Amino acid sequence: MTNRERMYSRLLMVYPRWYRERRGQEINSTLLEVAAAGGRFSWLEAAAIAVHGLRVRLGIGYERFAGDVLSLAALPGLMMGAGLALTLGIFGDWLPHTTILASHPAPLALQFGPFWTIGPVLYAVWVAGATLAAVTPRYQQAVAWVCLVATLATRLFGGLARPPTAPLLLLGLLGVPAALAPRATRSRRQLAISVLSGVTVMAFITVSVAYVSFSGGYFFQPLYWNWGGVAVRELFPYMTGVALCLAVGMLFLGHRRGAAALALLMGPWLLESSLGLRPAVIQWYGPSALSIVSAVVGSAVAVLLVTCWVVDVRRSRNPLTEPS
Amino acid sequence: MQYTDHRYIKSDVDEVREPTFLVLTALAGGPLHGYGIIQEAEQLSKGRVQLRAGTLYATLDRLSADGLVEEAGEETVEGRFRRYYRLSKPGTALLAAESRRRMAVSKEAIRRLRVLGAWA
Repeated sequence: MTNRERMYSRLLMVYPRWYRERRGQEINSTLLEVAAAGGRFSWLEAAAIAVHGLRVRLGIGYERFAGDVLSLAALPGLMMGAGLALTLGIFGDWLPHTTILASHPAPLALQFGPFWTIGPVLYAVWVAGATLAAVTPRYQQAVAWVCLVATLATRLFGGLARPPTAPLLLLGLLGVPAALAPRATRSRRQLAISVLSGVTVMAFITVSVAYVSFSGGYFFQPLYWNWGGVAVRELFPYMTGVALCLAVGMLFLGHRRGAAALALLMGPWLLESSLGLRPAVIQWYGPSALSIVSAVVGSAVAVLLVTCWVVDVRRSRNPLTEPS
Repeated sequence: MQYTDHRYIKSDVDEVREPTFLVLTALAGGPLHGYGIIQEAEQLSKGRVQLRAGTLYATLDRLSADGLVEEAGEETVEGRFRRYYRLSKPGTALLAAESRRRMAVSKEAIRRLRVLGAWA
């Protein structure tokens, strides 16, 4: 065995054993033939194999349970993110924080023209990204990565007023399925469901803000300022509750992957609501029953999804003839 | 489950990317093995597209899972294992639909260029 053959054999270790047994020799031969023809093996070649190998190993490739679930959740996740971004832009950065702002220090004062934080730049990225992904599916994955990096960059910005960490975390998590999804095909039904998901998020948060604002005597204040405390986040369990009931219904109708995709998309909202159990929040507001419910239900859903994923990965033997 | 249902094929028609189109076109000439597909794709694209092995096998996995491509035998040549692939009927239909779509766009582009006097 030559050095090159040894190197290729080591490279193929990135694939799981069952895939190597199936395709290892074949890929190795192809790499050797490419090398013999002109020796154009490069780090990009190695990176392409590494990415493909990891996808196969993690079971997020084509026609695998997790891959299909991520693909189904991808565009609705981006649209939910865009809906969240729009409402954050309106209630968190545009409408006046009339009751509390005057007493707050400079970093939270108006900084960017009519906006309070650098958030609107990020929100514009999300809305434009989701629109581009809906119109041109081939850019979906690239768009998702741009949104994720922009969200992370916003979080890391120092010295500038930025949105709170909690909604940024929510935004980021909603983009993950699209970033990892192996497939980006689009049917009219998928598009309609995705747009509906985004609109539902916008409508839910708008109604929640109105409810919390007026019942608490505040005016357009709670979403941004109280996001880390109580207010809107307390209402997320109701939204996720309805969605999870829908997922159970889909499960009974045999739409296993669709139900899992819906449950996956509810994860970030349940996590967000569970953040109400942080010691700092409990110290001020006490343990919230809805946060406890969110944590329990969220954990159960996560365990269920991870179990399905692990079972599918362990059952994988042949990607071509034995999809789950 | 094989995605040979016409709805999936139809949705894929809008999303045939360049490497996939080249792989399908390469296989339209007859069964080929991995390196053969890479060579054909490079020739068809006049050297513009150089498929990488990782990309090729990801594409072949997807096309096989979608029922667009099927295996057409194996052999060992000079100690190297080769597996051959060929277009399936749905794959042929998809390639025909995509080719028609691309041809229609090209014809319209040429017509407009002629109007501009920019097409010799």
